[in-house]
Amino acid sequence: MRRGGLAFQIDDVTVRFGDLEALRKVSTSIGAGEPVAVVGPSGAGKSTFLRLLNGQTRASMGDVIVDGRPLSDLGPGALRELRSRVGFVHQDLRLIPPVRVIKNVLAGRLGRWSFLRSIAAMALPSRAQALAIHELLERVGIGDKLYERTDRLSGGEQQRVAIARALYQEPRALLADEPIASVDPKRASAVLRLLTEVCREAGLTLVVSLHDIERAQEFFPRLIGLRYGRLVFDRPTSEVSSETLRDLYSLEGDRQGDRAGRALS
Amino acid sequence: MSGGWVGTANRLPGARAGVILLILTAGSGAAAYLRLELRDLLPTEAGLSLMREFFAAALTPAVRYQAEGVPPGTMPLLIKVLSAAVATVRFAVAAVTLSMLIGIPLGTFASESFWRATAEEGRANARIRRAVSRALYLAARVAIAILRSVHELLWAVLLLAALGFTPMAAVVAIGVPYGAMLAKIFSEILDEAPQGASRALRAGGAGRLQIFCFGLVPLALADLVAYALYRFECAVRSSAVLGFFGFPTLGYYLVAAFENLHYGEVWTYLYALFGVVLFFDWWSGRLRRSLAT
Ligand SMILES: Nc1ncnc2c1ncn2[C@@H]1O[C@H](COP(=O)(O)OP(=O)(O)OP(=O)(O)O)[C@@H](O)[C@H]1O
Ligand SMILES: [Mg+2]
Repeated sequence: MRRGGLAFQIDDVTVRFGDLEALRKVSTSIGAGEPVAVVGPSGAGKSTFLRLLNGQTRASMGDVIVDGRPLSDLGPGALRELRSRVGFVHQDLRLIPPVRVIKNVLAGRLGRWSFLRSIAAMALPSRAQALAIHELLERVGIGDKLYERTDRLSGGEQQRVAIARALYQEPRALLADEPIASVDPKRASAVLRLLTEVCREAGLTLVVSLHDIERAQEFFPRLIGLRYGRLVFDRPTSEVSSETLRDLYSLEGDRQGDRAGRALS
Repeated sequence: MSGGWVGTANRLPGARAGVILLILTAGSGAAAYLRLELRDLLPTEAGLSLMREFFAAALTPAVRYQAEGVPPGTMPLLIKVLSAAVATVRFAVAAVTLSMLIGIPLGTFASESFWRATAEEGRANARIRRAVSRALYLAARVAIAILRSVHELLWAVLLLAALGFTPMAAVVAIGVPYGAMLAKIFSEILDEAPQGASRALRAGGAGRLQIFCFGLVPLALADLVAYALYRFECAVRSSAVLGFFGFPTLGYYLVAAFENLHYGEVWTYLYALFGVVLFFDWWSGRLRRSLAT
C-alpha cells in the first residue's frame, strides 16, 4: 500500500435511472489520501455517489475524473486496472456465499492476477496468502473464521469479510458503502477506527457513506451531505451545524418542481 | 434491479383460472378425439391371467435359468445379471460424460448471466462484441432446442443406421439429447444464481473468465452437480432400455426372458435395475451432502 491515494473529481454529474435523478448536478472533489464521509437520508444518492467513483454507475451528464483521467475515456483494460486499485465495500456485501472466508478475501486480488494465477490461488492458497489474510481478519475481529463457509457467518461477520476483501486488494482508494450497517455499536467504532487508520498510514483516499451521523462526525474531518440527489453541503465537520443536519434528515423539504412526485422513504 | 417478481404481481387476476380451464378443455378434447374409454382399462381374460402370473413371480425372482436343458458351460444366471448391470452402468457413465462435454459449454453460452457477467465495460468496439455474444447465445439456444426435441430412442434408430451397431452409437444416442437437456437446465441454474458476487468481482477489476469461474459457478455448483447426478440416474434407465436394440444391457436380457415367459428371470433383471438406481441414489445423496458443507 505504498502508492498513495487516488484523487477524484466529480464534475457537474447527473445520474438518471429512467426519469429518476439519483444525482443532480453534483460537483466536488476529493483529494488523494483524504477521508470523507457521505451522509444523507435513505435514497439520497449516497450509494450512487460511491458507485460513480469507480465507474460502476455511469454519469448521464458530466464526468468523473480519477487521477486526472476521465472515466468516460477509459477502455476496458484501463477501467479494470483502475478498479483493481479501488477497494469497494458494497452496501449489500456481495460476497460469494458458498465458499470459505479465505477465498472471499483472496477474490479481492483477482483484478491483479492472471487467470492461471487466480485458479492456483483460489484452489490452493499459499501459506503466505493464508497468513496475510488471517492477519487482516484478526484486525477486523474475525481471525478464527478463516476457513469457515462464508454463508454460515452472521451479518456483522460477513460485513467484516467484505471489508477484509477490500483491504486485501491493496487499494489506492477505499470506498465503503455503509460498512457498519450490521455490526454492533462497539464493533462499529472499531471498524471505522481501523478504516481511517489504515487509510491514514498508507495515504489512501477513503470515502464512506454512513447513516450514523455521530460516528461520521467523530471519525471524519469532512462531510458531504446529499438529499434527493443534490449536494446540500460539503464542508469540514466542525462547520456542519446541528441545524444543517436536522434539515438534511427532516421529512419535509424541497418537494417543489421535479421532486413533487417523489416518494419520501 | 430484478423485475421478475414485479411481473408476477401485476399478472391479471383471472389468468390462473383461465390457464386451468384451458388445460382441462384441451385434456378432455384430446380424450374425446382419441376415443379413450374407461372400458379399455380392463384387461382381457388372457391378459389378466398373464398379469397374475407375472406379478406373482415378483416374489420369486429366479436365481437360476428357468429354461430346461441349458447348454453346459453357460455362465450362471446371477453372473449374467451382474454383468448386464455393469454394462448398463458403463454405458450410462460414458453417455453422461459425453453429455457433460456437450452440456457444460452449450449451457454456459445459452445462459444470460454468463454473457452479462463477461460483458466488457468501458469504451471499446462494444457494438461488435455485443453482436457476437448475442449470436453465440442464440445459436446455443437453437442448438439446445433442436437436439433436445429428438428422444434418445429416435437418436438410437438414426445412429444405428448411420454408424452401425457399435457401442459408440448407443453412447452418442443418449449423450446428445442428454447434453442438450443438461445445457438447458445448466443455463437456467446459472441464470438463477444471485448476481451480487459477480458484480463485486467486476467492481474489483476481475476479468471475464475470473468473474464467471469465481463469481458465478460457485453459486450454482451444488445445483449443477445435483442435476448432473439426476441425469445420470436417467441415463441408467435409458441405457437399460437401449438393450432393446441388442446392446448387452439389462433391457436386452429382460426382453428375451419376457418373450420366453421366464417371469422369474424378468424380475431378477428388474431387481438388478432397482438395485443400481437405488445404489446411485444413495451415493449421489451423500455426494450432494458433502458438497453442501
Ligand atoms: N440501478 C438503479 N436503477 C434504478 N434506480 C436506482 C438504481 N440505483 C439507485 N436507484 C435509485 O436512485 C435513488 C438513490 O439511490 P441510492 O441507492 O444511491 O440511495 P442511498 O442514499 O444509498 O440510500 P440508502 O441510504 O437507503 O442506501 C433511489 O431512489 C434509488 O431507488
Ligand atoms: Mg445506499
